Amino acid sequence: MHDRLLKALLDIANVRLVAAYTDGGLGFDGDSIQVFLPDMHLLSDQRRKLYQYGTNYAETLLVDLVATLSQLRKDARQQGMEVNVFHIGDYLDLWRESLLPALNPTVPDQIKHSHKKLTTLLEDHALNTGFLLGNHDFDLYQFTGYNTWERRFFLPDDPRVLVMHGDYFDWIERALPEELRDIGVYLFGQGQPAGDVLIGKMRDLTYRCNHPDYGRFIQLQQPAVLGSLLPHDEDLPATYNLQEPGTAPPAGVQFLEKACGECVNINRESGSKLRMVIIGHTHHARIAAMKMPDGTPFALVDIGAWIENCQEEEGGDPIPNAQIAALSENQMRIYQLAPE
Amino acid sequence: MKTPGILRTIVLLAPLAACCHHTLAPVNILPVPPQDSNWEGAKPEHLKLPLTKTGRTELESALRYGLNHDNQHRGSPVEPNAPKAYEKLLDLLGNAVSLTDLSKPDFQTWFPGDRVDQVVDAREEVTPQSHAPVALRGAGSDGKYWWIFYRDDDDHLIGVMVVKLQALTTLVERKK
Repeated sequence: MHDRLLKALLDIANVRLVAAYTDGGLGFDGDSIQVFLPDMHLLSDQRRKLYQYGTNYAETLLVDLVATLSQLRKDARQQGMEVNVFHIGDYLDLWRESLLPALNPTVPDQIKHSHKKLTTLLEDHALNTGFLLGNHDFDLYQFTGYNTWERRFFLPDDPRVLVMHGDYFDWIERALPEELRDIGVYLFGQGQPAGDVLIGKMRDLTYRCNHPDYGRFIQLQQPAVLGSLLPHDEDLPATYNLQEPGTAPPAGVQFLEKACGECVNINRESGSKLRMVIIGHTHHARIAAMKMPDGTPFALVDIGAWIENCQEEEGGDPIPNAQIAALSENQMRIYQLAPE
Repeated sequence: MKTPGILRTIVLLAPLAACCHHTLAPVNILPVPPQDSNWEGAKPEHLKLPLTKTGRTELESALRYGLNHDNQHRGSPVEPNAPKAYEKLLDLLGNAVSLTDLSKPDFQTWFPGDRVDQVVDAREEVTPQSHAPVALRGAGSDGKYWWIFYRDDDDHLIGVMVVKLQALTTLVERKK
């Protein structure tokens, strides 16, 4: 399915590989592909004017991408294969759209009105996108139409992978451990969804981490350094550009040890088998890897963004973030897209 | 003229501050949410009680995927351990159970408090006036689910549906 997705992407974009990672224990065969779309931070046209950054290629490449995924899913299903699409959160930027707590249910509609093609395609029931709530769209949970959106997914049916927005790792740095205990058990544990009290706690932490001025940047004061991007016409390796402790710069392994530690703990306590965490939030596409204490491979996959910029090396030319991640046949790939 | 920032903030926050001291009366009607937040879909097809093996499997799936068939179709469970977490309750529901049994200690572990006797389901042609379904807030799943039990004229439980309900409360902002 990787080849099939890549072929479809090449019809609409210039595609380069950011990173690849293979782990035979992830539990994914070649009959399905899981596609992950990162932070988009959509804003209404009116509010967009107030900020330095808006969604990259929101009316062009991003629309083509979602339309392509929709067609790929339709075609694959006719052959008994599945294309499952996930959005990692921070799809709508309620914070930048409405500076007060977004208690007005018309706020999401204001944003979507400026991006009708994209949002209609992405929310089309036929695509069955699995939406996660991020920090900038956390408040969507209170509005009708969004109450099925989740805060984490497990994959596959016998879970090895946790998919979450990733702002939890910010909270670790800013909150007391006792404030986070129940939230950590919920996010990493497989026992229960979040009730009202827990959602209230998460909302408080989300607001605490909201910084006061998004005028110049959201996550990246400087473009994220991705490393050398591999053109698609070379044979794509099973492993490429892994960020590992000891050799990678600090930004390349950010949150890796924390994510691994949480999975080690929950696996030990509950018997789960988590060995990969997929996040967005940082706008820095990368795959960071290390071993768990028992030797099991672990990877933190940060799938990037469609806002702000990246670069291949420090001081290099800025490239608009436009990434997509895909998992099939136990291999995770992150691609950087650009208009042809 | 440019409004000073502090004045603008006070004006915008005033409505929130003004409503903080209001106390809401408790809600005693449970509306069955639209089909995106329950497992049954457009037509009422409650799982029969006592639970059969097939019914139990269906209920386990519903809980495992957060009552959302889209999650099931995507293969992305939100509560993968649900069959284990609810094992003892599902065992209990495999036996003949009456309404009064729900007040007994075995069930009170699972349904410790909130009960609503008025369940409104827009999909039903008739809302029963007697022996109507009752809804109990489950202790499992962090209190997110309400379990609606349907009963016959002798108050034997004959069906069950689990629904996910947004909190029937008003958001209370933290005191400044």
